[in-house]
Amino acid sequence: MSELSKDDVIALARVAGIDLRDPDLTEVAHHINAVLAAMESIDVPEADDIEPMPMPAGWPTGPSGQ
Amino acid sequence: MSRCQCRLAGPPGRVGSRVDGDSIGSISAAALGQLIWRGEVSPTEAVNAYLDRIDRLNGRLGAMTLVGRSEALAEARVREEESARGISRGPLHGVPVGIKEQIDVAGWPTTGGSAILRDSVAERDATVTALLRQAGAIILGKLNMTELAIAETIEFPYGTPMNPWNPDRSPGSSSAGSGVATAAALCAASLGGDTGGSIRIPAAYCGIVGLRPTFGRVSRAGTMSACWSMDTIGPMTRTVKDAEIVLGAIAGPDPRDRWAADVRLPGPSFVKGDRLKDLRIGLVSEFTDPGLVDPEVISAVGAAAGVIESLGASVEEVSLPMVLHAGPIHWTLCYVEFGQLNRGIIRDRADELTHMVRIAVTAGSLIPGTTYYRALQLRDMLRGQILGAFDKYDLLLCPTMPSAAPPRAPDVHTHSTQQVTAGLTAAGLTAPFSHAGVPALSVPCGFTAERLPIGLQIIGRPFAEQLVFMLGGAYEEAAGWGGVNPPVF
Repeated sequence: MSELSKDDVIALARVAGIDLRDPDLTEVAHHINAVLAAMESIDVPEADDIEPMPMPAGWPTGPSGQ
Repeated sequence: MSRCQCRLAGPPGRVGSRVDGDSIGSISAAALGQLIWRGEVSPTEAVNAYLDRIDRLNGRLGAMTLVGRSEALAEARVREEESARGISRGPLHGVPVGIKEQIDVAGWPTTGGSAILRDSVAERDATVTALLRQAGAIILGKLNMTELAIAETIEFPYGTPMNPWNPDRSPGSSSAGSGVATAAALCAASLGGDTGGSIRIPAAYCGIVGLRPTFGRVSRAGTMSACWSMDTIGPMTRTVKDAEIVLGAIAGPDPRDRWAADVRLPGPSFVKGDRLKDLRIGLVSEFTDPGLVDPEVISAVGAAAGVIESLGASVEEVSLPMVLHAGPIHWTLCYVEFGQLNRGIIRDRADELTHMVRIAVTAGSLIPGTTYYRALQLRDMLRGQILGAFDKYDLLLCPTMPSAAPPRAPDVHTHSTQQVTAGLTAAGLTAPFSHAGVPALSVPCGFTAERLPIGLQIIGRPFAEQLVFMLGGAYEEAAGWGGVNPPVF
């Protein structure tokens, strides 16, 4: 599993313009790593070629959305 | 515990009967509308009765963040003048309702449950608020919620909402105040918002009915977004019929929301059970697994399936394996969208957020794009599997939550990645249907041994709310769980 270090998270935060320090830094790193790990554990290779769309084709919208 | 009799206390047929803070709690919104229509109760009496309940109960329940006492009484007088002229706006004419804090009510703050937005006064009504007024409803006040509509938290800047069945248990999130206020009858009905389950979860935990409508059935204009690709606004009520009436008032296209679709919502669905004979219903087998769901919940949902079969529908198990991945998919998409929606706050005012929300919004701002894209691909598969099930089944059935209301979270701090991972399963039973965009109704289906309510989820095809209501109403009538009041009464 590719786990982000605190330094990695600080670098990401810098890019996003967020000033992130401990104690929040540790918890934010836990959150991001938990999401990454959970997503990596989903082994569904059939999804690799999917072009994800916001809604299925033909989903009704309002007048200004057509 | 007392059951909703849906009529006034006192001698039957008595002309000029009056409601008070006790009797109003046992009257459904639909029944109250009928009483007002017949002139047996005035809108002012109804408002005063709810104000009496609010005065007595809201201090300990923490459900309402703002009570519009004078505004509601003024609105009631207008409804009375209309009634005197023979004008009725429909079944909600004169019926007092509550509005979740993320929905604009002109002249009142839309705080989103956040101290940061304490002074964010709405200049105009959200479309749903305006439609409720058009339908004759009286806006009684605003309802508490978790900050910015994200995550389970124990920190509430405007008071902590308490589950009326047991104050030591969670009322559910994010529409916590809507769930508590409706269950405790501080209003006749309410509006909530549902992204991954925020209507259905508090509905299940508080023992009421909650509908997440089809994505696009109800306008979101004038409502605070949590995650734009999943947000919906819907009714939270004490009966299925009430939910149908409220949805009828707020559904429809809206120039202010391009996703609000012009798809007809058929009229009242209430029919006798023989209409269920042709229905094919799939019970989602992954969500009756004892490894995931509490045995008491499995038992209650199994019993509900039996009642539904006894009404003539056929029920069989259906496997939808992708639903087991819904938690991580949901939280990835939700965190990222939430982080982007609130990026200004996290840059400039992060210290003013409550702890859990600050962590969530920061993490959401930093999740890599590759992970977000993978979640979008997996969501597409999840959605395809659910929509595909409707080729064979008219409706799907499963528990709303894996357990009844859990104890309140003891700690706002997350001390490990493993601890967060466990939390990613939250909303795991409700989120799949959010991502499919389909309507999902939570109805009470029994109690645990500790007298905590259990929720049954009924899911339909896109824009098939009528069928969802038909089954929900027939089940509610047959099973008799509707209108069972919590001990706070």
